[in-house]
Amino acid sequence: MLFPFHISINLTPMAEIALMKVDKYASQRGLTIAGYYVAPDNLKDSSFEKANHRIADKIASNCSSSYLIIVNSTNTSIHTGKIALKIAQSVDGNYRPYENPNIMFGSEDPVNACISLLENAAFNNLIDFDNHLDNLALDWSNRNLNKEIESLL
Amino acid sequence: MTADLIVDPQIRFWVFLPIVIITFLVGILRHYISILLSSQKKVEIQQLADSQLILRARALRENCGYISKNSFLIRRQAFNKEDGYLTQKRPPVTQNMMTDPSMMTDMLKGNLTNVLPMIIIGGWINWMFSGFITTKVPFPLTLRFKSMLQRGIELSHLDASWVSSASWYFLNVFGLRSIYTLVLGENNSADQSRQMQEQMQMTGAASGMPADPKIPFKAEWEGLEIVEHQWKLADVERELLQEE
Amino acid sequence: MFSRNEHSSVIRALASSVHQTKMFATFAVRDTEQVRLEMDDRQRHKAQNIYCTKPTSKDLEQLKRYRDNNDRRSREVVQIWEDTISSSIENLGKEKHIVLEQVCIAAVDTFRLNIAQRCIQELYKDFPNSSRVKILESMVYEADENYNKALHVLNDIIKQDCTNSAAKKRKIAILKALELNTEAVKELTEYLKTFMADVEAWQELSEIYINEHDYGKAAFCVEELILHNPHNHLLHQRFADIKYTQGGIENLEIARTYYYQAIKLNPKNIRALYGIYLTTTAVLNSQKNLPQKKKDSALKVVDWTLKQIKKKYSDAEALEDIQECLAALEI
Repeated sequence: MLFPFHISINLTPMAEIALMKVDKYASQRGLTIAGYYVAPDNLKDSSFEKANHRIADKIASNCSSSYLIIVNSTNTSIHTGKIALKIAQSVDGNYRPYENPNIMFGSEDPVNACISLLENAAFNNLIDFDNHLDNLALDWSNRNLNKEIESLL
Repeated sequence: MTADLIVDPQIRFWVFLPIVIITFLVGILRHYISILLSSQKKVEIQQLADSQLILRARALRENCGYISKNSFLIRRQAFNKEDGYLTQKRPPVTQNMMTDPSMMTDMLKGNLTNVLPMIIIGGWINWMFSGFITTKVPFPLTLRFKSMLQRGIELSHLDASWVSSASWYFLNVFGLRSIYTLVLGENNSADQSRQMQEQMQMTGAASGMPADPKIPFKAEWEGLEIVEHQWKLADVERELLQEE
Repeated sequence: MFSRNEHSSVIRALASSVHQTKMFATFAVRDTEQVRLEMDDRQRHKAQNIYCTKPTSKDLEQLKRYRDNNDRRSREVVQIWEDTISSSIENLGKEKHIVLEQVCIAAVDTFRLNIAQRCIQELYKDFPNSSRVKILESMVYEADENYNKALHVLNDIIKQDCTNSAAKKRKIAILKALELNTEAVKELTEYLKTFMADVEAWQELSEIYINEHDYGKAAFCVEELILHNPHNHLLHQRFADIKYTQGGIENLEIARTYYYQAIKLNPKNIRALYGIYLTTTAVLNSQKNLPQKKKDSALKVVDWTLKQIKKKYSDAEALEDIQECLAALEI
């Protein structure tokens, strides 16, 4: 499950609140926070240094082998056959990048699932933590959207 | 006594309506001529910077209570110190309004499109249509209005609610403005397209800025020197907690 | 249906949409409820439009609303363009140019460069020398990642008219897109020396500083924003956020005061409530030997915020969340 967050990730207060909530949410359901993913707002930017953020450190302090995942936007083309993710794992509190991550997707065809989500404009239904703070009635855990994604995979 | 005064219906077709139509058409014509003549004002970058500087200084002076004392003092220092923003040395500005030829032509154009037609058309209408009573306002008025509504007719016994042709012309000149916005569009369509041509000018830029920035700078400098910092947020915590 | 090739460009556009176009995004709190309503509206609207391709006044009103609120709803704008406007540009009347500009920016934002180019052509017909249209043209180059050409266009504009602030801002945006943050900061401070009262630029500068983790300078910029607009609760909250991130007892106290101010200006600001909670607990935790009196008042504040937060949640009827939320805070 993914919990998105958008405005000013470099300011900590709301990120801390979000982390607290996600932590609680996870522990109630017997889950742990296993990592932190970033999609940098600049297309060209996919360096670990910038993304290596206080939140990631905090997660690493709770979960010894947590992951830091960066969406590498320069690779988001179907043809290259490359994976548009960069992954690092924390070892002793430092994130070490994997050179050639070998990622197994849970389904046969994640690309088609993405395409159908895009066609349905599912991104309009995505509610991140900031939307939730703007309007508390919105559900930041995105239960409906997560269900939809699972049904596609 | 006035009830038996009947205005010839010919006056409606040959005086009342022509005056309306003439003023309206002249207004539209003037609008387009002014578009034709208007030159794009070139704003000097220094002038623009000066006006922005004044804006910023004013914002600081007015709202300094919302930032901490320290931040305020830093800013005031930047504005007011020796050779600060507001005390910087400038070469004296030699050009003034009258010697600057572009200013002159601008003024001339303003006169050409605004004042001149007023005089010419007004005079012509006075000459062509003088001495007619054109219409009557449907309510009684005191004698004071006579000079306003009955220009060109010196009849002391005439009821004040009758309107003379010359006065009718002036009423039209001032009253047609909303009709122009209706016909020529909100803010006058031509204005909008001119905005497209240029750039959206920054608010307060250049327009009211005199050529010599020293005087407003001095005024702002004094204002900033006098202003006393009062931290407006000091009590906000207590206020809110007390509400409970 | 999409062909595969087109599709990759769609993905690219999605990813690119964040930074590339909207010149200097302002922070507007999105009222999602209203957004929903508008979406319904549009769908209903579309059904009506099957038989008529004239732009209805409703469409134009919608576009005007987006413009006035500074909403970034590029997909919707492009959709309206495709549904109705594109086939009858001449019927737009006096709004034609402003709508064309809006559609053009939206099209660039969604990587529909052919639409953008068409808008620009239409605008060039009426304004062959307009710098404003030239800026749109540069934005198309920019979206196509042809930065050199975009810069060339912008430099030409600036050479002709050195007071053109929009062109200068676009140049800074390009520097940002190129990841040249230090250069962007340099240009932006240079720009601010002339356009000192340009609120947008101050905001942009503060955001760059935040991304560079230079919180002191970011705070200065936000202070400048507050001076120009002292009744905007978001600015006070943003300032407090920065101060909190900076850390240290003194900054925490300042942050808390500004959070209070944000709540005073807008009692609905839940972020500020959370902020007060965080600052107070942080002060409590950082100083072990706090005087008893101070400790009591701090605890009272914590109590107060928790109560307020609870109330906000029950007002929003997010009852399911409320338990979790409070549990999370009271760890």
